[in-house]
Amino acid sequence: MHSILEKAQNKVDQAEVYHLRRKVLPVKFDAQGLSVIKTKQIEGVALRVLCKGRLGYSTSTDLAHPVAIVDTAVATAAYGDQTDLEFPIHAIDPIVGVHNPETAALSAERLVELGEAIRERILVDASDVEVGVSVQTTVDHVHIANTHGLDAEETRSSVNVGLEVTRAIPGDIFTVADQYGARLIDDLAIEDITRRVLRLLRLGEATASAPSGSLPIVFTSSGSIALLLPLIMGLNGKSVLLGLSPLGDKLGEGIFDSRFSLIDDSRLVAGAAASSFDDEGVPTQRTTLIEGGQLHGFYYDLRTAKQAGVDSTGNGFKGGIIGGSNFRSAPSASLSNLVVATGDATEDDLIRGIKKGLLVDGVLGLGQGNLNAGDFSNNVAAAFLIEDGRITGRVKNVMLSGNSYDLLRHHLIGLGDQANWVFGQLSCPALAIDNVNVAAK
Amino acid sequence: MKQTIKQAIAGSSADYTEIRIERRWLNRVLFQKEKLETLESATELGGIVRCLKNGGWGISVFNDLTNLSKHVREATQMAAIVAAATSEPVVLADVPTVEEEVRVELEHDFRDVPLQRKVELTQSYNGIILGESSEIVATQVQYVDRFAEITFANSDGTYLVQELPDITLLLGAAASDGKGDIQQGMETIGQAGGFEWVEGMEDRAQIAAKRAVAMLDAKPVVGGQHTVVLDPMLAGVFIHEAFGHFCEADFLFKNPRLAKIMALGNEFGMADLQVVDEGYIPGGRGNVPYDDEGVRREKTQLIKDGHLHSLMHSRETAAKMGAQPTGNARAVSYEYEPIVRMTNTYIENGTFSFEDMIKDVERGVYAVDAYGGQTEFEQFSFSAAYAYEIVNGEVGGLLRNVVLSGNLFETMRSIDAIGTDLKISGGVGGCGKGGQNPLPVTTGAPHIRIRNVTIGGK
Repeated sequence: MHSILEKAQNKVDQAEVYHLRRKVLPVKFDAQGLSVIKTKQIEGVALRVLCKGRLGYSTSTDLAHPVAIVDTAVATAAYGDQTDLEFPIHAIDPIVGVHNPETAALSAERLVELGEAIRERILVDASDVEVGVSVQTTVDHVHIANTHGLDAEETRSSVNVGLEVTRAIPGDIFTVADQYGARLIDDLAIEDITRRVLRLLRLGEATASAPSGSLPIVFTSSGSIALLLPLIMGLNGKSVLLGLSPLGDKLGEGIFDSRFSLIDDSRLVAGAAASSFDDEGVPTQRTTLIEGGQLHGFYYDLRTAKQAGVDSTGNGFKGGIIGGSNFRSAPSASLSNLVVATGDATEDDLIRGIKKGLLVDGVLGLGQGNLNAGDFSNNVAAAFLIEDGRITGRVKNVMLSGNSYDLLRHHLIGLGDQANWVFGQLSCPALAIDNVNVAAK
Repeated sequence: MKQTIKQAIAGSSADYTEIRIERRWLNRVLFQKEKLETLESATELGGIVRCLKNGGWGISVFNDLTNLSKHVREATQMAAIVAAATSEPVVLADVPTVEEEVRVELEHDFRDVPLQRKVELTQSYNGIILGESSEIVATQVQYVDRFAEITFANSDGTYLVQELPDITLLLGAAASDGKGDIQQGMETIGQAGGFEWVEGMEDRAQIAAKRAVAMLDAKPVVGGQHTVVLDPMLAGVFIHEAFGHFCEADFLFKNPRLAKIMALGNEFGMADLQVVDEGYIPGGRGNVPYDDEGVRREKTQLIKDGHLHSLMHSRETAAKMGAQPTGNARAVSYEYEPIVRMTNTYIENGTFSFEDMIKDVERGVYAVDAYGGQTEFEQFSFSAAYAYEIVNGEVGGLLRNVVLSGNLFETMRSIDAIGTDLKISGGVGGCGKGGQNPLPVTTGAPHIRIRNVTIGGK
């Protein structure tokens, strides 16, 4: 990759090379058992250049032709966006534990063994279901260098488990999905991985008819994403710049219930997005977004920060608004590990406090509704009726809708005292919210 | 390359070996507001080897093409581990072997169009949207062209080279009333075709902008059960997302209970209902002359006269279910193995004119285009991009927040009118399944009417 940087140096004012070498080893089980094993070795580069104040970008996996990569980037810079972006040069404080050689060295046989054990554990308790399991190791080696002298590299490794359990009877199909990630395979305890799925399958055995109206809802850690997604968009420095965020002019104001706090923290190794530097080579940090209900700040990449006249928060990641890094897409403002502060009630307390409402563990149709305005509208994937503080059955064909800004400001009943990692990058307790619109068929 | 690939396959100790090598080119121009947000050019070169040994699959994916034999050995090793653990060995249905080069000829090949022209055209559409009204606060105007050259060979003797072009244009506008309400308007164009498809779209840009502004005055829909008329775009998305995925045999053949629900001959809707998946329509983004197992395209009748008629298959699912492969084994790129996917999927014309469809509807919703949707088995949920109320048999004012949801089987049975104005669209995104996203497809339908659809809202 240094040859790309050298070749670029003579043709441009600034250049930055991002190089990713990724090794993935997934083993997959379906209802019949082990179905496929795949070895994957991907290697690619992304080159960003600045020529006379214009930005150019190219990516390639054809590393044998560095000149072509440089020429393509230079060609795009001829018409590229005018910017006063400066590629960074900062000291990087490495985080510990993001890579373990023993994780990288795990054999396919060892992953098969874990997957098989998980499958069997589920089937012991629930013999009437189809179990899909995937176990995968990922080892990323990321190397960023720029013409200002930055030369940073990091290896990140993890082992991840995905679960999808389906109970199908004519006229009714119930699916529960879950995922877990760890830095070491020994941290993936079979009981922990299967507990939630088994609980939901048990709760889902009986069905109930859902009520309609304005009701209290307990969102579990994974159900809470429906509420949080509008905030994830609204706190993005880019949305603020584009005038799409309703939070743009509310810095320092109390906009949520005072028990609600939100932090983005790339430096938590427990989160899948842990890294010492972002995909632009900016050191990562812990960024307080909301504290005690007050809007504290937004998250930024370099380019957005420059336009807004602030510093990057080290949130320049490749691959969309919730990360999922690959070398192809240009970095943009994206969250890393999002942490919702816990409260003081147990999830059971929250459920007990509800006379008539729902427990929502998962929704369909994420991203529907006018998210910029804070509106969400989702069908439920896994939801249960609560009557007199007890769960009495699974409900189907229920639409939830509401406005996250309104609900988290005026209708927060309570927060759970225990946070769970969901989707790898979100650590969240259960959230009990009143006045959610429920439309049942 | 041909020699190297053939040698690597000849040296394989697996029972079946296939190698797919892909070269891909991409150009992307994105304007947001006044700003050229993204201008990028990408090239990809990579490969995948898939081996079957004693009935187990092993796969190796790589960018370094210098040692194909090494990847064949790796995939074979992985296959042996799978075979040792599996009780259901994989068998592949026989298909004719082919040796062919499928080159495309584009009317105005986008590879010959200078980058500057692509930037200027995108910028001009962006300018039209920005200039439409002072209420326009943001834009998203994106041009993307992709070209792929795919080489496929297997140990049966098939050797194919195919070219796949793809061009898309997104014209997106966001309008604000200045009091916190933000609404969108969006028009999309997607084609397996040349640059001529994205030129001359000034009127479409204007339509997107005008709609975003008009939506500011749209009334929120009242939640509950409604008679809904879907336009061809939304009906097409519905038939693809909610129903089409159920006809993908790989989904079914590992789920025996679901397979029972989806048994051939079962009734799914009115006698007028015909649904097909077709591997080639002129300019269709879902076109695949041969799929990623080297199987020739088909026209597959999924629903015939309201009854399930046929499923979509790969070689593996066809062998398992005693059917013929249908040319639906597709991979989104060399990083992935082929799985059963749709191509161009649509509802065929029925007998109702649009006027007849709405004339007896006292109160209902006319839902147009989709902003997104999700299905989980028989549960589905779709957002209409925009909608109109239907009052006393006539189309009335604009509605917002129209999210349709329900149970697929009930909803299919509740379709009671099918129009005569079939329209197939490519859109700008694609289909996602099994982590493989976005796969270019088209979807289409005439207008359709559905009774008792649940719409969320207050």
